[in-house]
Order: sequence, then structure tokens, then C-alpha cells
Amino acid sequence: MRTVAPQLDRHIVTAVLVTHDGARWLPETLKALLTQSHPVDRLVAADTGSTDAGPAMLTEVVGEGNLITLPARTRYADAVTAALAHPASTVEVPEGAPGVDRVEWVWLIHDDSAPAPDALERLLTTAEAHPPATVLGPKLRDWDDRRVLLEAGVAIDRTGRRETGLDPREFDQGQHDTIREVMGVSTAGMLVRRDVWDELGGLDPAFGLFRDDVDFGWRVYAAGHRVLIAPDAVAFHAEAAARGARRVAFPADDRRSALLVLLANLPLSALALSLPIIVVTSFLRAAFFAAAKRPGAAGRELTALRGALFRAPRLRRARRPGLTASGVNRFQPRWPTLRRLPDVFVGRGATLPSPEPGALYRWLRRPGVVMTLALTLVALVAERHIIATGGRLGGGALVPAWGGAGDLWAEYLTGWHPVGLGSGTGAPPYAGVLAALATLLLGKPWLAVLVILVAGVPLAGLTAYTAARRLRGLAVPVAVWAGVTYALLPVATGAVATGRLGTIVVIVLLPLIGVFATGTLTTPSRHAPWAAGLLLAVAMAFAPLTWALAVLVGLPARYALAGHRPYAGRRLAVALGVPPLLLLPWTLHLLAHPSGFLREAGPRAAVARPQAGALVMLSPGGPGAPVFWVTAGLAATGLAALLLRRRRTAVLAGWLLTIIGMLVAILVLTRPEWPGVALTFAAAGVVLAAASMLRVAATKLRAPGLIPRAGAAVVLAAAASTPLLAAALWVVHGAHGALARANPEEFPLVVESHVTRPRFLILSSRTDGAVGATVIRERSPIPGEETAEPPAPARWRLRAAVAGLTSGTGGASALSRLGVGYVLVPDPGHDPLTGALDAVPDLQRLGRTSGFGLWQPVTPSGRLMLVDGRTVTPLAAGSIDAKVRIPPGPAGRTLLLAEPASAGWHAAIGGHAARSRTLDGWAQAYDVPASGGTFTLRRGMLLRHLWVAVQGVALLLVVVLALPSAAWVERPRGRRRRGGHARTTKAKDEPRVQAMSGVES
Amino acid sequence: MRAALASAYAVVRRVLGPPARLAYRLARAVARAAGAYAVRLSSADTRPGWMNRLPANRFALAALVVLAVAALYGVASFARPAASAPRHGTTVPVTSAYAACPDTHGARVSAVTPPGARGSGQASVAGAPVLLTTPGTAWSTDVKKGAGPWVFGAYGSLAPGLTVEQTTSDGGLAGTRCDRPATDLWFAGPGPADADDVSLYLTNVDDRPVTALVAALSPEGSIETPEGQNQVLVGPHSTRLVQVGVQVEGFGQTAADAKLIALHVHAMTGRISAAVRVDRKKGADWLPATAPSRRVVVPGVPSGGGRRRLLIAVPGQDEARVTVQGMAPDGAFAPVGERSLDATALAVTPFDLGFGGKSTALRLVANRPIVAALVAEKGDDFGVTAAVPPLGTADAGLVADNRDTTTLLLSAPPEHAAAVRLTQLAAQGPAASAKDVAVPAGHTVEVSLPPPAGGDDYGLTIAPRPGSGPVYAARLLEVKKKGFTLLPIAPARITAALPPVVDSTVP
Repeated sequence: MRTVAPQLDRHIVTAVLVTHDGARWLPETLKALLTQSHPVDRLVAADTGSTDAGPAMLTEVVGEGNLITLPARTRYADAVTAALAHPASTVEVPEGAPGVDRVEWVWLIHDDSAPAPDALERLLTTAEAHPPATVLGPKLRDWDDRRVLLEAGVAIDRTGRRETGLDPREFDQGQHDTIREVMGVSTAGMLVRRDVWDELGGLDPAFGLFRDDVDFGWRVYAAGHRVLIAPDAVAFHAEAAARGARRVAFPADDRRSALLVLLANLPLSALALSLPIIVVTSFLRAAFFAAAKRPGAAGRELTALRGALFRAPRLRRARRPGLTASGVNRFQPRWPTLRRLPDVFVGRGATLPSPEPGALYRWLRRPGVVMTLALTLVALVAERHIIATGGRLGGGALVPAWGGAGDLWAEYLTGWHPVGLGSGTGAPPYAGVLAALATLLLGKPWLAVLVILVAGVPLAGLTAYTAARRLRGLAVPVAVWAGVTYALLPVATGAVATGRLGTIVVIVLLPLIGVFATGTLTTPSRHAPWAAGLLLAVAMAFAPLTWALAVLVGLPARYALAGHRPYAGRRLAVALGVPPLLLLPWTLHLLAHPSGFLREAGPRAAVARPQAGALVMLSPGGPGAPVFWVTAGLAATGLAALLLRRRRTAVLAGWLLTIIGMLVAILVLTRPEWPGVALTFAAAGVVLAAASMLRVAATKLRAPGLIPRAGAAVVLAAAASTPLLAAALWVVHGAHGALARANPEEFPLVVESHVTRPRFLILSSRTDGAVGATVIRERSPIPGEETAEPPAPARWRLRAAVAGLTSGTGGASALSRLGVGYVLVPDPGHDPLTGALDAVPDLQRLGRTSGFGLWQPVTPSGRLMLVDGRTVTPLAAGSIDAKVRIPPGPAGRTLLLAEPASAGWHAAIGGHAARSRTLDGWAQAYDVPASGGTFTLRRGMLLRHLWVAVQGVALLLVVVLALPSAAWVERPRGRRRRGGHARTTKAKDEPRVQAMSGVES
Repeated sequence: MRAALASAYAVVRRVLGPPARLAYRLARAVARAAGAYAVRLSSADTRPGWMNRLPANRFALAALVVLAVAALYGVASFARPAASAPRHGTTVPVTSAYAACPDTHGARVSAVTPPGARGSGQASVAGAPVLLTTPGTAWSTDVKKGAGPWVFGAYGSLAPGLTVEQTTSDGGLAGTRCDRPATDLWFAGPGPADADDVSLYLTNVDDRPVTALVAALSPEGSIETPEGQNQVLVGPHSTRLVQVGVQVEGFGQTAADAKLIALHVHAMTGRISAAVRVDRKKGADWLPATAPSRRVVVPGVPSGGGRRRLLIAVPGQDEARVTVQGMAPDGAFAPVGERSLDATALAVTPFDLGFGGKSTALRLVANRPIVAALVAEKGDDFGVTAAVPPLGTADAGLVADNRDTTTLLLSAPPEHAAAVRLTQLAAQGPAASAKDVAVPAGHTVEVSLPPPAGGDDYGLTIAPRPGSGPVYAARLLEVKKKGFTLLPIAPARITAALPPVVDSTVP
């Protein structure tokens, strides 16, 4: 104990203690207050409507009648003001040493804050040493864990966030022990010179409970004084109100107070800059809360903004102009959000400042990250040929993704596809997903396709690893094995080599769907069914078979895993019902054409015919699939797992999945269609079973006895052979296959007229003896347009015209009626069609290069033609709509629109609705009156736009419902609740969202 | 109105209500029972005992799974998709046909179509009084001197199998098929050095000009011309006559020394009809159009004495090795023994063959595509025959110009015997009786038919019977004092094969 310096005697300290239901802490607080090494000179106590034993305790200390009793709704600021107005706060104190100026101080004490015995003495010592400091505060430590530093001065950043400069749960080891100016100090233990207090009018009651300290500090600076932290003085604080340990009876909105501090105190110039930022930030926070399914919090955020905006002008008026300008902004941290980013990524678990290497290094050392990076490397090397094409990929099941994201969006939104002979079929939903992905990737669809192709394998590894980590008791190495094996399956490398985006997306999403589906059936999690449904919807958009298989697997699983659980059926219905409903207009199309379930994103491509043995070994055959015995180790491990005594549920479930998947794959192949999705299900099942076996083998490796160890080693070697062999073969062979660099000048579309819009007919001899015919318009088709098939009569007409043309029985005039203005044969040197077309009398050869031969029918053609007997005149037309003047002429003329006839066309001639009919059995035509007139054509798309709008809203809703629940997001700062209700479904290593609300007491 | 609606609703409800309620209750009961059963199965306590025991025995379960995988293997090997089968198109009757007779100056022009075509149609010649309206009838006329080329146009029921021939008799009997336009035509025969005149007739039947590219091979090799000189522009609906070895387009003096010549006419755009007439001191004839192939059959080598020269032209850059097989009335034989003939690349090579006076068909098998023709000399005239495709059950052959001196030479390859039905077509229509002829494998059969009642001239269909093998046919027409002419009979174009078409929205 130090001796009290004599000069401290001139300081007269009035302690103000305000209590509210604080009997839990009050005895210790009082004891600390009354045993100060520098005793307080006066003690004023105010109670604000306590209902516990607190008032009685206080009355014992201050004496009957001296306790100021206030109503429960009294705010802290008002309570202090009332206390200081009490006569007890001005009681004469006996004269000390003569000739010394006496200084009056006010010391604010909360009922839940206990100052250390020498706190006041040290505060006064510091005040003595720093005369301009008129407000001082002690360092605050935690009441319960007295090593933990809570506060050593506070500040508020430009977005209203409270900033203490401390890490969560930082231990006090003297690292912040410098006497320094701060923006504000907590009112718990704040020592204020009384004249300053009176000059400023005390705390501002406008703030309720929170942030009045920062506001006060700001005003202190504005008045030309200084706020100092005196870290050698310590107080212990329970933060009772902020932590919810006691209720307060008046509105205590921290966010509103924070905004009010800024709005009331910022200098005008800074305010002009900050106000928009504050408003935008508030709306963003509200959106975040809404997304985290906390509509209440979102509403409170907006209410806080409104309250602050309304209250601030009054406050500013009350404060003297000019006082707001000060050097306070030096305390305001810059880019606070950016500085907190590392916390978000590393996770907030690490609270101890450790001597470990940096955050990035720690992140990189996580096994999942290492595995993903290794897989990325393997994928980059193996797909070197694909990457070397620079993204302009075509061939296989891949339509070259020409154009920008806008083209994909337009394709998805439009009600009429000006593709081929024209189609009103809605675009497949995968085009929408691709458009969204392309938008994120700088608006480049080719980049989206390349990313799916290259990142598919590493992402599949990551999702499989994540899913494996959720399996009970699966160690990290086994999960890594599962991830790598799953990612390098023959079906994955085969899908990459043939450009089957659908299978790749399903491979990536399937483990996550499995995780959420298991969560749906076995835990009470509310968001799991929605998340499973959302992911399943994405997978279904790319490969509808995924949904059918999910139904096939999900219904038995509901009874196997959750027979006794309430609501399991309802939740499963949500997970399985969301995808078809979310993809709705397309789902109806799918149900009308059930064979569409077997198709995937992209055009129909050649399907390999794997041997039965290869198929049983999970290989789809064809390009990119390695020799079938690569997966022998995996299959052997999976079979061995059947002999395990434990973990039988996982093994059996895995094998059931395998058998169902393989059976479906066989059936799909007979069509023949690509069996990728079904084989993915089958492979996931084997990996699931084998992982259980590996887990047992890993423990047996350390077991006593030679035989178990040897057996375990054999199993481990067999299991490890599959990913190692697959990776090695993939790297060596590369992703050779059907993919090739697409040539944007493949077709000389530039010769086309953009006025009459004649079409191109591309003919080629196929290997099966047929003639391939494709009509394209002004641009090459983009992904998703391969499904825009015209109605059957139009297709029949096209086939008949092409057959007539190439067999020499028909002429080119039939083509003209289809709007075809050019006939093109790629590779004319080897295609026998060249001779056949040369021999057609009314087809004129325009030119021939090594790349293509081009012909033109003698009859002119266009999208819109005026037919007058044998005279055909192409007219100007837009790509969908049209507006053209038709001169007067003879009666009986017909306007032929070379698009399939449908009720969706709205046409008028000379202001009157045109008489519509169907020409040639397929085409839309209109009777033209002899007087002619202006012809206008319009395609009604309202229905499609409505569908898409409803779909967008539904998607948003599902996304919100699928996001993790509020309890997960809203975690108290610096405290991690373990084993909480929502945490049970989560593993330890998932990314954490930082709680955004700052709290103080 | 409202009352009416209410009463209607009441009626509907009374009628449909009970069955609907019943169905709903039934469905609900079934669903509940199924659910209850599933729940019972899902719990180990309530499920049947054997189901509980089954998973408990891990070896039994492993065996079950292995069995299931083996079954899948079996199913997979059975259900393995077949290799993509070639697609077959359809055949449709021809709906329009052209036949261009190169020079009807003093010729007999005969036309015939097979019977059986339905619907209406007609065949006519622009600017000439020719009109056929009934399928299955023969028509012929002797054209006065001075008439130019005639182009037959037929549509509808007269288009399938339209066959037109022209036969001239000045300087020796010379008959030819008035061919339909095509893009590639080959001819082989005596060259300008061995003839008074070799004339190439190019006829364009279409509305747009056609550029024909003419190439020629001689025994010494390919006849080269400066660039562009061998291109002949033929205007719409017109005929160009090119005298080979005289005119610039006919290779001028470069070809004048060629004793033999093979001509290749290629339409660079559009299509063209071509015919080649060779006039020698002794006789004249038209060269039949043929096409290169690795396996060719030259039918119609006539019996009797005289020189028989086989001409083999090789269009490719490599020498061809050709084996020869003969089909005579007494069976197959080897005209040149076991050896094979070597034909020079890019040239016409003649081979003098002796057949002992037997009528013969020659089968040539080469290792490269070859063009084969045969020049037969007999008396003061010569005739040329060339390789043609066989007649099959679906591809009948037609001959338009038959007289009482017509001899048909029918040959069957050694692998398969053939049977054909010959039907005579007179001006009134098909003759009542048809004649069936059997052709033993490897034999050549000579058939002479008496003309039907009502005229010497008649048409003829040669239709292989169902089950018959392919037949090669040629017509030998002899007119006393005027000589003879040979005509190999190619299948008539009755139907057209439409290729299968696969349409897609993405190329």
C-alpha cells in the first residue's frame, strides 16, 4: 500500500451510485466503494425502482431517508442528475490543508461495477499529473473472470460500431497500460471534474442506457477538455444490462444511440459525408438481418435509424454551434470492417493471442484447404488442354458459350426463342443458373463454363470432405480420402472430358444435399429441408434425374432413418417438393416429356457403351474414364465394409444407394443416354461404405497383434490405390475428349442480312448415314437454346425439305418457305452432300473454302415474306417483332411469317387485327388486304415474364428459409455458446458469421 | 341466375358427392395402412423376425450385396446398348424427271415408262409435238431431219422410270439413252486419232447457266490444257457441241493424236446432260455414260467375230491391277487366264480380248476405282458398251427402243443365279403375257422376243423376280445393212431414296 500523496487531499470526490435490481453485485460494489485507499468524500445513492433487496442494503449504508428513490423508467443520465441535485452531494466537507485550491469531482459508479481498492487514488494521481484531463476512467475488467480485459477507453467508428481496440476475451497482461487520451470512457467508474460536468449538463438523457459515455467524451473534447484512460486504476464490471442479466424498463437501443452519437456530434462537413454511408449501412444491416431470418432485428435496425434521424436535429440545436468541431476523429478507427475481416475467416474461436503464425498460414494448414488446393493443382494439370483453348469450348455435350451474361439472361427471360425455326418452349432453368454464375464472373459465360469444368473436381472434393466430416467419428484423414476419391471418380473425369456440366454440378452438390437431407431427417433443424431443397433444385436444373433419384432414395430413407420422428415426413416433402415447384414452368414441360428426365444440360452427345464390368466398377466409359480397375480398390474396401460389426447403418445405406444408382444407370444406358448422375449416386454410396471400413482400419492399425495390423494395412493400401491411380492416370492422359476449341468464325454469319433475316441451314453427313440439319439465325446458339425445339409440324417440314434437297427429288424452294436463305456444309471436301447440293438446279453456290461450302436458293427468302402467287418478296422484320409497310396490290396476297403458328403472335395490318392462318402445315401466315397498310407483329410474353417473376420471388424466399437460423447468427460477442440448440447440427469447422451488434453496459 | 346456379350445384353435389367421399376415404385408408405398415417395418421391435435377423448376420448380408452386384453385372451385359445402327431413310416415287436427247437429227426417238404409277402426270418436249399421259405405254417417232436436241420433261405419274432413247442410222446404227442430268459423267471409247469425229454434246435443262469441266485421258496419259480452256459454259435450256480434238474446249490438237479417249464431264455448279458420239470410217455409235468403281461389270459383249477391246481408264494417280472374269452362255470363264491386267494410272489402257465368239459379260475387280468400257467391232460397224450398276428386285430396267431384231443379253454373277420377268410394253399398254427368264449363276443368256401384236416397236421392262440375285443387262440392236448398236441397261430411276434427316437446334 502506497502512502497517500498529500496533494490529493485537495480533491473532493462525490461518488454517485445508481442501482437498479443490482442486489447480486451490490454488496461487493459497496464494499469496494467504502474501502477505497482514497476515501470518497460524499456518497449519493439513487435507486431506480429496484424490486430486490438493493434499496434496503443501500439504506443501511447511506442512512434512512438519504436514498434517492426514482421510478423504474428513469434513465441513467437522469438518475445521476437527480443524485447530484440532492443536498447530500453538496454537503460541506471539512477544510483540508489551507491555501490549496479544492477541486470537486464526481465519480460515477454502477451497482454492478466494483472499483479496485486503490482505483480512486490512482485516478486522482493521474488527474493530478495531467491537468487538462477533466474526465478519467479506469480500466475495466470482467466481473467473473477477473483476468479478462473488457475496456480501456471506447470509441465509435464512422459506421456507429463500438470500438474498444481489444480482441474478444483478451487477457489483461498490461499490454494496454499506457495513460492516453481516448474518445470516451465507460460511465462505470468515470471520474469527472464537477465544474466540467455542470458546464456540459451531465450525460445526455437522449441516449437511454448505451453510448452516453462516448457522447459525453465527444462533448468534453468539444468543450476543450480531455478524456484520459488511467489504466493503473481498475474496476470490475459485470455488464449486467448489456448481457441481459437484468432488465431495464426504458427503451435501450444500442444501435439508435450509436447513430445518434454520430449524427449529433459529427462536424457538418463530416456529417455530409457520413450520413449517406450511415443510411446505406443501416439498410444493408437490415437486409442481412432479414436474410438471417431475424425480421425483428431488421425492423429494429430501421427503427433505430429513423429514431436517430428524427432525434439528432434537436440535439444538434441544443448543443452550441462550433462545439461539435474538434479533433475527435483521430480516435475513430479507419476501415473497421476491413480490419475485422481476418476474424471472420479464421473464426472467432481463437481468443488467446498466440505466438502461432499468421491467420492465412493457419487457414492454409487446414486439411480441407490443403486437399482442395492439391485437387485444384491436379485438375489444372490434367485439364491443360481445356484451359489452353482459352475458354471458347465446344464439342461433346457443350454448346459454346458465346456472348455475354446478358444474352443468357435474355434467353432465360424471353417468351420466344428466335433459334432454329423458332420455339416458344421456356428456356431450361440451368441457363438461368449459368447466367447468374456468368454475372458473378464478370459477365463472361465462357468463364462460368470453364470454372465449372476446372473447379468441379476440387469443389467436389471439398463438399465430399465436408460431408464426410459430419459423419459421426470420421477422422480427418479418412474424410480427406473420401473427398479425394469422390472427386476423382471415373464419372467425374469422364464428365469433364465430354463437357457434361450437369453431371459435374451434381457431383459437386450431392454431398451437400446428402448432409442437409440427413439433417432434415435426423435433426430438428428448420433450415435443413429448405437448404436441401434449394441445392436439389440447382442439381435438378442441370440434371433432372437427380430429383427422381432423390425421391427414390428419400422415401425409404425417411422410414429407415426417421420412422419415429415427428414432422420428418413433412420436412422431406419440403426438401423434395421445393425443386419441382421452384423450376415450375419447366417442370410441367418435363412431366409432359418424361424422357427429358434422362437428359442433362447441353445437347445430346455421343454416349459410350461401357462393358458391364466397367459399369459395375462405376465407370461410364468413353473419353476421360480411366481403365476400369482403377476403382477396384474402392470397390474391394466397400465390400469389406459389409463385414463390419459396427457402423452398419452407414454401410448398408451406402450399398443400397449403390445398387439403386447402378440399376438406374443401366436403365439409362439402354436408351442410350449418359448415366453420369446415376453413377454418381452409386459411387457416393460405395465411398460412404468404404469410409466406414477405413475408419475401423485406421484404429486397427494401432491395435496390438500382427494380423489385425496387417489386415488394416492391406485395406488402407487398397483404398488409397483408387485416388492415387485415378489422379496419376488423369494427369498423364489429360482431359482429352470431345471438347475442342470452338471457332467463332465457323459459320460466315456475317453475310446475313439484318433487314430480312434469312436463315442458315447447316447440313452435314453423320456417321450413321443420316443427314444432320440445323437452322441457325443471326448468331450461333448459346447454352440452353439446344432445347428450343420447334413444334413437330415445323420439324417434319424441315426434315422433308432437307431430304428432298439432298436426294435430288426436291428443290430449294421448299427451303425458302422455311425462311432459309443460305445452305452451308462444313467440311465440304469430304462431305458427299457437296455434290448433291451442287446438282440442285435452283441452288446457287456462293463459295467454298476448306471450312465450309455455301449455297443460296435462287428464290429469295427471309423471316417475313409477302407471297403473291409465285412471287415471293422478303420483307424487313425484327428478330421477334416486326413492323413493315405493305404497299397496295392485288387481293389474295399472303404474308408468310416463317415461324411456327401459335396464338402467341399478335399481328395487325393497317390498324386492324390481321386474319391469321396456318400455311404449309406449320407456319404462321396472315391474309393481306388489297389496300395493304402497316403490318405490325408482336409476341406476347407476359405469361413467361410472370412465371419468371414468381420464380424469382419464390427463389428468394427459399434462399431466406435455407439460410442458417437466427440463433446461429446471433451469438453474443466474445462468448461462444457450446451445445446450443442450433449448433448441434453443425461441425466445429464451419465458417462463422460475426455478430454485428456491439454491446456495452 | 343465382338460384339456378345453386340448384345446379346442389344436383352436382348430390350426384358426385357420395362417390367422391367414398374414394377419398378409401384412398385415405390405404395411405394410412401403408404408412402404418411402413412405420411397423421401420422399428426393430415391430418388424417381422426374419427381417431383424437378416441384417444381423453380416455374412448373409455381404453375400446378398455381392449377389445383387452380380445380378447387376448380368443385367448390364444383357442391356448393353447396341452400337448405333445405321439409319435407313425411305424411298418415294420420283415426281419429276428430265431426259435430254442430244441430237434427234434423223433419229428414232422412243420413250417408255413402267406401268403401275398412280395419279396424273405427263411427259412432253418443249417445242415438239410429244405428249405422253399414260404410264406403261411405249411411244416412238421417227424425227425428221433438222430437228435439234430434245429435252423430255416429265412430272407426276410419268416421272418414275421415264426412259428415252434415240437411235440414228446414218453412218452405222447408233443408239443411246437420253440421260438425265447429273454432275459427274464418264465416257470411254475411240479417240480422235481413230475416228472421223468425236463429238461431246452438253445439254443444260435448267434455268441457270452451267459450267461443265471436261477432262480427258488418253493412252499416253492425262490430256493437259491451259487453265480454264476445258471449261464449257452452257446456257439455260441449250446444248453445246464440243468436237474433241478440234475445238479448244475439246483439247484442240493436244487430243488429236489420242487413239483412245476417256472423257470426264463434271458440272461445277448445277447439273448437266452429256453424250458422246463417235463416227469412224466403219460405223458410228454413242458412248454409254458410266462411273468409276472398284468392282464393275460390263454387260453386253455381243457374240460373233470381230475385235473386242476392253478399255480401262484409271482416274487416280496409281496404277490399277485388274482381274477379269467372263460370264458366257456356257458359264463363267477367265478370258485372260489367272493373270491380272495392269492399267496405267491417269490413262486409258486397251486390252484386246478373245471370247471365242461367245456373248459375254465381263466382271472386273480392281484395287483402285476404274472406268471400264468395251468396243466391239462386227462387220462394218462397231458398238460400245460400258459398266453399269446391276438391276435388282427394287430396281427394274427399261429399254425403250426395241424392234424385232432386239437381243437382250442377261448376265448373272457367279455367286447367285437370277430370274427376271420381261414385260413388253406396246403403244396401247403392257402386253398381256410376260416372259420369265432364268439366268444361271455365272451365265449369260441371250433372249430374243417376238414383237407384240400391233407393231414392231415396243418397250420392255426387265424386272428381277423376288429372291433373284442381281442381273446385268444389255440390249443389242441389229438392223440389216445399217449395223448394230449396244446399250448397257442401267436401273431406271423409279424411286428416289430419301436420306434420314436428324434435325437439331445446335449444329
